[in-house]
Amino acid sequence: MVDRKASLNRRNFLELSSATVAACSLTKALPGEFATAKFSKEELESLVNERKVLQSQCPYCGVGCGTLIQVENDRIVGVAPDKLHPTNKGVQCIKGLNAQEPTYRDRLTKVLIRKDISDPAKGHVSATKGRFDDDVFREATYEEAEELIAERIASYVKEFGGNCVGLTGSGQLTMEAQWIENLLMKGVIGSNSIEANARMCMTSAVTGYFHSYGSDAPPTSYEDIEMADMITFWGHNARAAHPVLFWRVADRKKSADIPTLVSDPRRTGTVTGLEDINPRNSHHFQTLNGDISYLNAIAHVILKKHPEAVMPEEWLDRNTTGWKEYIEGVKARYSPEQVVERLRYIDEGRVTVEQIEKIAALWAEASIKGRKRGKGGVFTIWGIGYNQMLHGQHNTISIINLHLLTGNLGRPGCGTHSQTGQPNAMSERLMGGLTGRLPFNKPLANEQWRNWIADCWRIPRERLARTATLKNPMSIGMMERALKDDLKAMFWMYSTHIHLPDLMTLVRPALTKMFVIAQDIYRHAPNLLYADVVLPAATWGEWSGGTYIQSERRLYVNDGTGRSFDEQGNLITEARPDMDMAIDKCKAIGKKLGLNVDAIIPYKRRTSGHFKGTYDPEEVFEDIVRASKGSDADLTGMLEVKEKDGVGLYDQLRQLRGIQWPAPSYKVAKSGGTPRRYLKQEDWENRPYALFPKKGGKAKFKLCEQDYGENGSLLKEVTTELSQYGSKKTPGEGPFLIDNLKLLVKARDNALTPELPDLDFYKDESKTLDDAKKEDKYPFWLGLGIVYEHFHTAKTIRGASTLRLVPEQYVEVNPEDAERFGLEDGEKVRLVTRRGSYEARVSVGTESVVRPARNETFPGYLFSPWNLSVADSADPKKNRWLANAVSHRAWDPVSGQADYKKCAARIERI
Amino acid sequence: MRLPTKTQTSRRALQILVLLLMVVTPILARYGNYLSARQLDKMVERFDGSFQGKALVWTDGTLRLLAPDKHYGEDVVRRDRKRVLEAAASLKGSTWSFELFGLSLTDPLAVLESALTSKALPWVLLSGALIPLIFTILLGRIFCSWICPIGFLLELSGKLRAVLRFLEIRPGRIRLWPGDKFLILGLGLATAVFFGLPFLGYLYPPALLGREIHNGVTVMFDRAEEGLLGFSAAGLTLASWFLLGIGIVEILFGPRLWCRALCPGGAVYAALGKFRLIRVKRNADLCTDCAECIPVCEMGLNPMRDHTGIECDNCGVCISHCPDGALRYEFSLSDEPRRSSAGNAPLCRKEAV
Amino acid sequence: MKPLTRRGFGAALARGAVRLAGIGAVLHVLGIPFRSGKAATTPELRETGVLRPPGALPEEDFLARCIRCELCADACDTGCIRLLPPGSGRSTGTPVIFPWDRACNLCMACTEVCPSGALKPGLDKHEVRMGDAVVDERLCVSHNGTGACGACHTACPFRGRALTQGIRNAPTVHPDSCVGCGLCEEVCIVEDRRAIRVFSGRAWT
Repeated sequence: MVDRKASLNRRNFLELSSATVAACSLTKALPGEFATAKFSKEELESLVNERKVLQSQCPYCGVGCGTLIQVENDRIVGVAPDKLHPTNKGVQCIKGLNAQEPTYRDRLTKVLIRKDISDPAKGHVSATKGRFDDDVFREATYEEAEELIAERIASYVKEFGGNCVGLTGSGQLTMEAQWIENLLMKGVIGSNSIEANARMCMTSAVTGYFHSYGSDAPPTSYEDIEMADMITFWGHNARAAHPVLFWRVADRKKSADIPTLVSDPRRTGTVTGLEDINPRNSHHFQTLNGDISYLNAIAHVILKKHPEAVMPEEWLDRNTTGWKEYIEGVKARYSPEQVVERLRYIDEGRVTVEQIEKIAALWAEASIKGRKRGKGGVFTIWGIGYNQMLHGQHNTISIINLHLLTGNLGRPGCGTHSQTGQPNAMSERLMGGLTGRLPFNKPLANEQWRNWIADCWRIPRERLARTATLKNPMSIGMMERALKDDLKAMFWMYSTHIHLPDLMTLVRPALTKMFVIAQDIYRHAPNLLYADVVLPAATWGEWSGGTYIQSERRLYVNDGTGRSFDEQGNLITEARPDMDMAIDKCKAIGKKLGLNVDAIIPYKRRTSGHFKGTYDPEEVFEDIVRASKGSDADLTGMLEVKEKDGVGLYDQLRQLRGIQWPAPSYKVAKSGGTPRRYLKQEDWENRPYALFPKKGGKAKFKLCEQDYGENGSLLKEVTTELSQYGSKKTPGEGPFLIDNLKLLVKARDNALTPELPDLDFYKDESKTLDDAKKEDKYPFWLGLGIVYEHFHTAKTIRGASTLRLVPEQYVEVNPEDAERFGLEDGEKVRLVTRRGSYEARVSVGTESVVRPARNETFPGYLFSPWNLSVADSADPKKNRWLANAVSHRAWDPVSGQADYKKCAARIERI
Repeated sequence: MRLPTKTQTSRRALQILVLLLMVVTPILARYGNYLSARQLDKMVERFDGSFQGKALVWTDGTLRLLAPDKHYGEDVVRRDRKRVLEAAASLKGSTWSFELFGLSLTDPLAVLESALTSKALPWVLLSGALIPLIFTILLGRIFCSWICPIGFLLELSGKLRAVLRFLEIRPGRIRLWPGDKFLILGLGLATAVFFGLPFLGYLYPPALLGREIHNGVTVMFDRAEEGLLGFSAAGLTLASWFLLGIGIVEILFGPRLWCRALCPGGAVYAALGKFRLIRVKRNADLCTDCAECIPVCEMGLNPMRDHTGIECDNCGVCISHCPDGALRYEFSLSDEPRRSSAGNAPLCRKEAV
Repeated sequence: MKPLTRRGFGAALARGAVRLAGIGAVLHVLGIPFRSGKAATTPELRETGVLRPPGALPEEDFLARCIRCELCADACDTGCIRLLPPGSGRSTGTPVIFPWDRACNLCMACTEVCPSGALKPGLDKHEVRMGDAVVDERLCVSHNGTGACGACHTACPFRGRALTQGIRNAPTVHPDSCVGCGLCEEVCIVEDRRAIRVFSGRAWT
């Protein structure tokens, strides 16, 4: 960084050159020397000496690369990949390599209170909601804001009951903050309306895991990739979303030449990247929504043609339940021919019988190989695209079914691996920061565990028991509740409302009505548009510690500088860690509700040292570790190490570069935790479960069905009914899906889509884009997803390096469609659905001038990234790229996850 | 021919306009960059309250008058980017070479020098100089008096000499041989031919001024992007000292010293203007020999004695100062004064009386 | 005018010679920064050569033809074209692109506007040859095993032909198709000295 100042940039080039003319002619000095001579030797040395390196986990995706934060004078000046970290081994993707860039941009520096606050108790709706200009807010002190919040929340709780207060947490919060946030909601306020952005990320995998294995989280490690004999990706553009993971797979493919499969509606960089290595054993299922059927069909072919790959019946009997029904059903209804025919309405035969049979053969071969060797087999990775379906849970179950059937679990080198999106979404799940959950993979309904957690939280047991009786139909349902005046106030902690679907007709009207408190780091964050009270937060790299858990269950500590700065380099005194603010709210609200807050929160602000004035997250972490005793995520081995070896908890994480949960004993904790779970792979003497943490100790099969009906008749029927939910003509009004959950169950059980484009219109060659507008037709499938250069919507779009690579919203269009509808590459268009619209630039094929142009869609399918949603402006009056304005609200009735990938849309010219 | 009495006003207006355009073009260019990169609104916000911000806002406002906003549906109004960009691209360059709505105007000196250094005269090069050449051949050295921004600035700084006199400091009145500029031109062209160095382009003040303004404005915007708002001289180079030097010499030692005797561009225009069709002519019958015209002549000529030759730049100051209306622009190929019908009128009426 | 005598003629000739010598001397001093000065030369420029806008004639012809106006810089879509300041020798006032700072997006506006023909008009952007991008495999994070970056590939307007990716997005440049626009160098995330740089092959004279 020192050199950077000395090196040439545009401005000082000309500036220097005029000076150097004079200088050169006098002294004959070389210009290079002249430039570096700006720093004296002493200055250079002092700069180097002041540099510190802090350990942390990359703040972006769930791969969880080890990142070293370089700090000078308490300021983050750079990041570097951690060579010693077992996850990334010194490699990081472009987002992580530039993670320092957005840290000090556009920061929120003051506590803000909206002048005209919405008060749902009195029915007052603020006239300034939807604006975040300076004049709608007034600056306030933290204490004033806290008093306002406590008073309001307490009065709502007293009047309407605890469940009228909602909270959306985040997979970016530290584990400690999530623990406190859950305590605040379920314990102090007594509300079950706690959700997190993890809901839209991973809950389908979570509920699938619970259903099949009985406990959350992938039972695998990344190192299994290096032992696998076949790797399959489902709904996962790993090269863009989880690059480091993808390159580990690519390395494995290159060295061992293993077969790979990618199931994705687009030909993504993942597909082409694997084909670049070896096109002969790289396969691609170009399917939209058909994964369940194809997985079942693979099982069918294996059962019929490769019976040697199926686990023996006695093994299935000993370890699993429900396998007989599964095998019967698969054999009867899921032959490749049947499946291809049944899915023809949408997939149009893009996946062929031969492909399915080929994959089944490869799958069988890899399974047998792995079983014989005692390591290896099929390793399946799926991502958020696979989870974000109306039948997300069934998707997960289908994968696990196939793995159970072929025995691809319970040994190194194979297994089911869901790849998390957020760096700490895993912890949000583990800390139970969702409706009806308790910390450590237990439901709120579990009385015994509820009492234990109530004790750990130091709150009255009956208080938590009362919370357990409350209902909340998950994230999107929570917004509908708000529209029905059932929810009065909401907290947003390190999370943004624009991650939710159907913003214009559902989320924003709901937020307008409520009393909203937002903790945010950026001044122009869209959350501020609807917030009544805004609290500036400290971000990653600025905390005094805090734990993240990434996708292989690895807990790792995030060290930080303890200081926040704005763009000009001024210290932001008002920015606090989210955990501290949650603790303060517990205290303030608890006091108003008559709780003994000093007992609940024994933590004290530090009175000395570098981190003076903040709470010590390690104290909270110790409480968390202690509370994990007896769960299947037991971490108490770390306490034993602390006692015996005197190594602090965070120091253990730092030294080992993370510990994979569970770590129940001294030995396990000392060796870095448990790399693999289930089937006695855990090194755990008094394990609280047998083979699987499920009742009876057995994993569970369940045949998940898929049927669109005769020529799509069922699909048409259900999607027609679903299309009445959310209309731009009546934003914020009913009907509400929470009143019609049966419909969602029906859609889920037949594995349908939330919307169906007017395919007949699309197939009619004579129709044009203008006809679609005239006739109000929506002929295209539209999917929302991510682009490699950006991570979600806040940080990377504020980083210069990543923003200039992909600066604007685009929509990928198949060249055939572009030709047929006369769309030019680079043209600006509007994508319109029944609920809203956004603008994007047309990117045709992989040769497009619109960056990044890496993926190819099939005809009739459009794709846009949602990462760039607010890259033009967060202000709704100016914002034109808001992708989630168009998505549909329908959700998986069990996991609560929405389907962002299958909207019916049309293109309108601008 | 009698030009409107507002000759001097129009000349001033044109000079100011040219100087203004030279400042505007780099701003327009940068505005185009931001608009093209979709950064304009962000930059306007970032530069708020500074010169750079205002420049962008004014430019935007002006261009949107030329290319009005588009209306979409009920209440969506937005900048017609494409047309605004086209409008912004309609003005480019400086007096050294200017492009006006696609029309290229290049200084004949530049063409001459480039042709000599590269030993070739391609059509693109020549075509740019056609209009200036035609105008110069018809109207004489009007570039120096009506357009050249340096000429304008030196005229203005000449007014400072009055201030010096008021302070009872007598500024010098050095006169150099006007032929010196031909020597400089010759030396410069020789350099161009033999060393391939376009030396006169580095010495010719209007060209220097164009580059200085361009660099100055560009660097000011660059600095603003890095958070250093407001005016700055950081982009100015050595050439600015040279220009400043000319100005100071002009004030202290002699009026229009550079233009009269040293400017190589002036030499070119003077030579080209030899057969100009429009000249300042004296009507000997009307002339009262008041000599009002002599001190006001920027070029240090004596209109009263006629035969101003190639040095006259047709600025018309003498015409507006003539109390008798004896001086006027006329179509003519010679400098001979107009005489009364008698034919043998004396040189000066007073002498005759 | 006085009649010319032989003596007077001799004296005039002598006066003229002195005059010429004096003017020559002054011009010589004024010309120093334009002839020998190398003030703007930076280590970067010395190594990679000076990158001219698209369509530039071969360096010697370009320097001879360019009239040092700023039309190309004014026409530039990205603002990447800069004018070299006095002290840059014969290149003083000529357009240059510093791709690490801002690169050319091949809009070709400069070639259309150039009044001297120093930038060849009417070129298609595929035909441009400004230079060749060269990857320094020690510096490139994707090559040296510290990252999987891929920024240059995303930025390349001819990706897939001029620049392809290998394992961990490691870039390979194909000089046949590379036009040398420098967009890769602009976005390269290696800060102090870019891992991919455009070598123009135009020695700094």
